[in-house]
Amino acid sequence: MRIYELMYIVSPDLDQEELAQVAAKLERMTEDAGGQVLRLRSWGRRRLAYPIAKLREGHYHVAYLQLEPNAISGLRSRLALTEEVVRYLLIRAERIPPELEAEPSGEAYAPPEEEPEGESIPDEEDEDELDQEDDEIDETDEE
Amino acid sequence: MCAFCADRADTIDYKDVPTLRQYITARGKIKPRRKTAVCARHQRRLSAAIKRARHVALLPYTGEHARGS
Repeated sequence: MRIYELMYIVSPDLDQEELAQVAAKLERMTEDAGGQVLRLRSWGRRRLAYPIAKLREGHYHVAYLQLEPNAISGLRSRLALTEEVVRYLLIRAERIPPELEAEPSGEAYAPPEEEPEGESIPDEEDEDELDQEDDEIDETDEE
Repeated sequence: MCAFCADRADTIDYKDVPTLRQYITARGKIKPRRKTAVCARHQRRLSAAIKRARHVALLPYTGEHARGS
């Protein structure tokens, strides 16, 4: 089992309840893949640096998952098929970052929180093959 | 000495937008090492972090002004 960091963005049109449903979906997908959601944090609504799927804002979430490496590709394809998730980034993390370590498990949907400033180091290896799954989701190529 | 070495940073977090912003130009390009004096190891990690941040729209692929069309 390994720890992975997942960042996902959902449409800003969804309300709190719908966001919780997305979180529940993620939990189900992870459990179906034989893993578990260790932590889930919301960053709240945030402006996107560029439009994705015609959206200019999104609800950002960061989750830490524990999964077998061979379950990752399956989870990726399910995430890609999850319509509410407009973009995601799934990378390897060595561990849960210390500031989330102490908190209770990610079962409950965490309330939005300000964007972490400065250090939040979720130790990720950088020449990681799980990196940038550019072909998983359509990049917004304009021009 | 490179800014990340000075901080004894092992990894560079793609979520740390304020830091990453210092290493992109107004047009959104990753600044070259010769401008930022980041060491080779950290420049590699930095560019990977910037690319991840771009993917999740924390940073632009191109300058904010260069949009429109």
